[in-house]
Amino acid sequence: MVELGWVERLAKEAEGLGPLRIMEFCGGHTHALVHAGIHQMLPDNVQLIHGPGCPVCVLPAHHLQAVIDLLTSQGQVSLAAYGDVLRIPTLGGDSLLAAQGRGLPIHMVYSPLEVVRLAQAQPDREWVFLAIGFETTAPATAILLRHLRREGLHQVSVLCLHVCTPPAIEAVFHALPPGKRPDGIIGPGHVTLVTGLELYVDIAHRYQVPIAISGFEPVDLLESFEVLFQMRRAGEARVHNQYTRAVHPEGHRRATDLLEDTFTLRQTFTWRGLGELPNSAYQLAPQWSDWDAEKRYSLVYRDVPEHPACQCGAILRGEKVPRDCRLFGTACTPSRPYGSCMVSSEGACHAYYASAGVI
Amino acid sequence: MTTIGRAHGTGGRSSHLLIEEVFRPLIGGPLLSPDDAATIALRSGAMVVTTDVHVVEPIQFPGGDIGKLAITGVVNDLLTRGAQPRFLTLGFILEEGLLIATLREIVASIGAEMSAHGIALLCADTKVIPARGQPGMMIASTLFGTPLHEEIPLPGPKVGDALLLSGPLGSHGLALLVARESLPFRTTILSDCTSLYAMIAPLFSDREPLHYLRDVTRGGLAGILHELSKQFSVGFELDERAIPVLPTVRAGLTFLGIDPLEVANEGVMLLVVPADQAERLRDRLKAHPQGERAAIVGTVVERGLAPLVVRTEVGGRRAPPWPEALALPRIC
Repeated sequence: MVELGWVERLAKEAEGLGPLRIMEFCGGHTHALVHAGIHQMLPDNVQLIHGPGCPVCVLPAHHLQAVIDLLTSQGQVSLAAYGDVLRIPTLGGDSLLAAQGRGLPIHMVYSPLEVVRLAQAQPDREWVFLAIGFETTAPATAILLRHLRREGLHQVSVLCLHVCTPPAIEAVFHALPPGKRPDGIIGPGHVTLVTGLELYVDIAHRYQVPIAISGFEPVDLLESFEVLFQMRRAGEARVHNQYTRAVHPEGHRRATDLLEDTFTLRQTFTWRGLGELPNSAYQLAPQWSDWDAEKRYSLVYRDVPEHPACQCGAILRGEKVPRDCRLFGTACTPSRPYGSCMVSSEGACHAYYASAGVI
Repeated sequence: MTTIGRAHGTGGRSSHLLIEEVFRPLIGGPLLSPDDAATIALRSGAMVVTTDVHVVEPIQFPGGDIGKLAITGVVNDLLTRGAQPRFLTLGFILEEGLLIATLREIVASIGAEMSAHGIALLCADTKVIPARGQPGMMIASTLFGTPLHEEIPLPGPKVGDALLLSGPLGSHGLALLVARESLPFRTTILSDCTSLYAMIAPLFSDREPLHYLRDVTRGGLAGILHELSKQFSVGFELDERAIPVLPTVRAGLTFLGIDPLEVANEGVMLLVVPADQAERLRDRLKAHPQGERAAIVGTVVERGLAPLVVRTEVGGRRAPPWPEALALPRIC
């Protein structure tokens, strides 16, 4: 049987390597691993660390609170946002979804370009697009801005909260003591499709950690584990491209050009769980400042304290797993999440809950 | 549970709690059925009845509309108890501003399904309320039917039984999501909204050994198996590779990060049948044009810690919980 083959192959490759901590960075991988049950097929000496690569999970709630405050105080403003940010808890157990239920004009979009259609359909309203995500979704925001300029849609602005992958990976290494750091990394396939492999070479070398850029099918992930174990066995710390059917080593030139012409790095940005990280997030470049929602509405960020028992921060740093949290599956569930890791299907808590409930 | 939220309408665990904590204590009784329809014992013969309230946005969608849904939904529910549909009552709540032309189209859909099944309308009522946005409507339908023959035992799922699905999962839920949110998909995803009477009724007429039937609507297959687990104290094991999903629907759901097991259907029947009859019954469904994709998807097992276990395509296992919240598309 094929499945026995994989379990045995992985066990053989990992044998004698001692305890191995493997971190999958990307939330899409977390979801795929748990959904396919691969986390239970891994050899006993392998421990998974779930990384901070879920864009919804790392977004501090004060941005969303500022949006709710804006929509509440300025009746002419509508919001367009991706579906999975709608449940992030804000002050007093509120959320964008609850605010939508109260009648605030909040529209779920899948593609940023839908904002163009919404703004054209309701030209008397002002629109804010909540732009979140890693290097994967940032190029789409860049394309939206070009459409806004071409169509002269000045009633639309962009709240740019895009974040960058390398500083987050580094932050995990900084947060963890040497003995607890990842011994191998499953690298994000779709981020790398945009950025190219070069990004990881330095990290692999500096921390002497093998990295496998992986696709999202179960077999992609199984292969990536095998490659990581083989590299550990050979004492190598290379960057391996498993996802060759999508990822070109050089990345996607048109997308990286768009990033360069649209964004500059913020001096610092607060990540949920990781804290303040310098040069870790994008803001709109000066030539796009007319469309910058932070400037247009002078957004005020109020502190949104997290639930004291919520372990999202430690989970995002790879220090804990969802079951270490006593809220997991009892008080905190997908329909009433306390922390952001329970919000998106890519969040570690949501992935575990959706695949095993509370048992 | 202090206010009604949207999760209460999803058919998931919240809906179940609402019924158990609000409705059942106040108006429940020994005749209230936990199944899709109830049988009324009469001095001669019996009647089977079901009621449903239809709220759907948009009210017209690729593959159907709220009118068609209001009839096929209750026809399929009656079918789970082996009944032929006969008499109908309808309640309409219309929102101010709804176009009469649209209403006429929807009522015509109702008429088409009624005549296709030989259903007679007994009574109906209409009310109008202010629109909450785009003017829409809601329909409540109650359908009475008579059993296809005098002895329909339907003893319930038994350990060792096979789970048979009459068709592919996910089409209705995805079609509505795409239409409601105007998702920029180039392929039109059609709802599976349809009556399964022509395919399923002959199984009853021929006295096939059916143990239990369930219309796989809101809550999806995962939600329904959780309900059945509670009702019958059994567990279920699904083989993920065997679960039929149309390629376009699978692609769309994967893209949005939504599990086909949690998505609502409006034209899929779950049949629980003896294991040694499963292949023959599957082939019988397959011989009908509506059942081309019928498949044996799992088995009834002893109830363990998890009511529902899914064997994944690579041989892993997961235990999906009772779906609780609306599925929201993920960003990447």
